[in-house]
Amino acid sequence: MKKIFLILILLFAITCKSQVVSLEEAAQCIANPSCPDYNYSKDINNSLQKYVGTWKGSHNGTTYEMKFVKGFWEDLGMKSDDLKGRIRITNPSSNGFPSLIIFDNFNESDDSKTSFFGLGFQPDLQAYRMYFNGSSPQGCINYGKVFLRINPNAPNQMTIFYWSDMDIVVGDCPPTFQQTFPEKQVINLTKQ
Amino acid sequence: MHTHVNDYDVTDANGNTVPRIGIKIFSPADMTYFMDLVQNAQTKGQPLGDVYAVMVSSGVNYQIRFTGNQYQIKTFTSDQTKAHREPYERHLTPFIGNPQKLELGFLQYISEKMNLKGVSLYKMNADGTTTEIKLNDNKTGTIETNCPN
Repeated sequence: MKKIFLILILLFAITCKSQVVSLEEAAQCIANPSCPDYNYSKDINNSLQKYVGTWKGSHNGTTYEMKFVKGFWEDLGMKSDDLKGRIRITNPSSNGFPSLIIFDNFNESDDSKTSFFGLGFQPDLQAYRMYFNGSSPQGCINYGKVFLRINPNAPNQMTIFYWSDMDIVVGDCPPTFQQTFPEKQVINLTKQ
Repeated sequence: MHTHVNDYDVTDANGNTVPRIGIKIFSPADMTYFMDLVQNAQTKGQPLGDVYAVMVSSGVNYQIRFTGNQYQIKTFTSDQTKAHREPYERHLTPFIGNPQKLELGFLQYISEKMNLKGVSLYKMNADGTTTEIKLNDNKTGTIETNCPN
């Protein structure tokens, strides 16, 4: 009886284990319809560590800061290790104008409320995809993917690249509306 | 009716490839718009079953229809739609590569997270036939039924 119980536990352990894949394997599933079923994409190779910390850079006179921590997500039977991000975008003071905060959630204490989190690596593993869910007036889109790219030979440098999602919108977007991130621009950040 | 465009790559200023990886099924914004159409039909006294939405892509073409009753009409504010984007994106991203898993993820999401009942999903096949896709009883898989022509 004891043996049967042990075998059952072992079988259970094996079945559970077979549903865990690395983040790298999960990234391949994006392009592969015959990818094995999994319910946990785990950071087995510690691939997220290099992003953790605070990063800062400037682009066209605007300062971009990002802060990343490792996190975990679980919902509807799926689990994933991921990055949670925080963003601060400011225009520094100049010519007597005070500095202007464009976006800042550095002080948000809850990792799940930053509207900026990791979806996983892109299939060629060269960049990590984050989702940014910004606010916008009706008719506009201010959400999409932010690609984080670190060259292994320069681990203190990162580029970010925002690409807006396409989605259905109702009505016209006011012409004065500006997205939080400039679209399809490479922004260089340095680890702080 | 609207189109979800193919995935394509762009090259960033440093020469790196950036892939667009889209979710080729109805989005929370699509569902919000669809339920507004259903509500509109109800207000105008039109048959609710006449409301449908089609999504065209290079892979599978889908249609949704409202097959519920007037008490199952649920609409979403723009704040609610915004709040659905994040869990939707998370839940469906692992299924992007496989249409059948994507259909399952979509049906799970609208049923369990958006609490939308009475919305039916159909796959429009290349040979002109239509297949209804439903969640199974324990919501862990889908059941396909070919519609009579």
